[in-house]
Amino acid sequence: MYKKDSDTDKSPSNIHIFDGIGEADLHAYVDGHLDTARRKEVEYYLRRNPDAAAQIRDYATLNTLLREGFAEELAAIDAQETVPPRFLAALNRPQPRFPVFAARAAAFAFLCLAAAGGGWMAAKHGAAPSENQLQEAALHSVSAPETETAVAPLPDFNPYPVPVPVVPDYVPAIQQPAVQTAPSLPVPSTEYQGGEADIIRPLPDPAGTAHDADAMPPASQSGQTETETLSF
Amino acid sequence: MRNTDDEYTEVRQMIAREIPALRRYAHLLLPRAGQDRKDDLVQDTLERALKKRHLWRREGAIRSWLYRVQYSVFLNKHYKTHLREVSSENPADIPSAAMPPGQEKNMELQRVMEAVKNMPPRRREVLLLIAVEGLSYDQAAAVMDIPVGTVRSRLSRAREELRAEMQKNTGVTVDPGDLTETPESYKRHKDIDNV
Repeated sequence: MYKKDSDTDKSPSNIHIFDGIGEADLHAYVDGHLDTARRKEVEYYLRRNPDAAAQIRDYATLNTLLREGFAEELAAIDAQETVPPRFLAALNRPQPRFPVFAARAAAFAFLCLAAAGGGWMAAKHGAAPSENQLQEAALHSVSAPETETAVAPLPDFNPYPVPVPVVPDYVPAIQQPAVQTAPSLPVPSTEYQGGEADIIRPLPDPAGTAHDADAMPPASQSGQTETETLSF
Repeated sequence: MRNTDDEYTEVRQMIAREIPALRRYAHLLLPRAGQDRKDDLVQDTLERALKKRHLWRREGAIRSWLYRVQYSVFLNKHYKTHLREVSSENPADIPSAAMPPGQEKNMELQRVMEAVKNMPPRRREVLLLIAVEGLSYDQAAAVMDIPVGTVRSRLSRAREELRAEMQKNTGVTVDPGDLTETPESYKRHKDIDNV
C-alpha cells in the first residue's frame, strides 16, 4: 500500500484529504507508481471528484507535453554515434597512484626534514638535486597530458553500439594507454625520456607510508558527505 | 595492486557505457545552454566519478550514482555560471516571443517548455527526472540527495506552476495563485475550521 507523506501536504491547495486520498496519491497515480489496489481506490475517488479528475488530466497532459518537448533534443543526443574525444581522454587519464597533492606534500615534508636534520651544508647539498628534481617533475607534469592524449585516442572505442559482444573488443583498448604505451611514447624531447621513469618513482616513495593514512586528502570533506549518503 | 588496476579498468568501462545517459541528463540540467557547456558538465562528471569511484558501493545501478555525481557537480560548479550567462542574454534571443503562431497545441507546448526551462533547477529536475526520464520517487530522491517527501512537494509545486501556465493559454480564467481553491472547497475548509 502506498504510504502517504503527511509532512509534505500542509498546503491549503490540498483539498483531497478525504478518503485518505491526498495530493501525493494523485501524482503517484499520474506517474504510474501506485499498486493496483491503491490505483483502484484513486479511480473510485476520481469518479466522485471532478476537480481532482481535471487536475489529473492536466498532470497527464503535462507529462505528455514534457516528453514531447524534450523528445527531439534527447533523440538527437541518443543518435550521436561518436563520443567526444575529450570524454575518452578524461577516462583514459592514467590513474594516479595516489593524489598529486599528497605526493607534493610528502616531497615537501621530505625536503624540510632533510634541510633541518642535515644542517646548513647538508641542506645545501641535499636541496640542490632535489630542486632539480622538482623542476623536472614540474616539466613532466606539464608535458604529460600531451603525450597521454597523443597515445590515448581509441578510435574504435564506442559505447553506443549496445550489443554486448562488443565489450571484449575494447577491454584491451582501455587498458593500453595506462600500461603498455609508455615505451612507444612520442616523447617531445629526449631530456625526459631517460628521466621520466626515474623521476616519477622518487616522488611516491617517501610518502609510501602516508599513503594509507590519508588516501584522498584534498577532497575528503566533500567525499565524506558523499560517503554517508551513497548507499543505493 | 593488480587487483585495483583491474577494478579501475572495469569501473572505467562501466562509466564509459553511461556517457550517452549522462549527456541526456546534462541536457535536462542545462536545457538552455550550448552543447559545449553541457559537454563540460559531462566531462567534469566523468572526472569526478573516476576520482570518487570508491564511493560507488556496487549496490544498485551505476547510472543512478553517476546521475547523482552529475547533479552535485551541476549544483556546485555549473549552475551559477549558467545563471550568469542566461541572465546576461538578450531577452530578445529567448525564443518564446519569436515562435511562429502555430496550432494551439503547439503554442501550449512552447509555453510549457519555456516555463519549465525557466524554473529553478531544484524543482525542475524533480519533475524532469520523474516525468521525462521515468525515475521512481525514491530514485529521484537518491539522485538529488533529498527526502522523498521533498521530492513529492517539489513535484507538486512544479506541476501546479505549469498547470497554471497551461490554463493561462487555453483561455480558462483561473487565478494562478488560487488554483485549486474553488468556492466549494473554501466552504469546506471553513466548515472544517469551525468544527
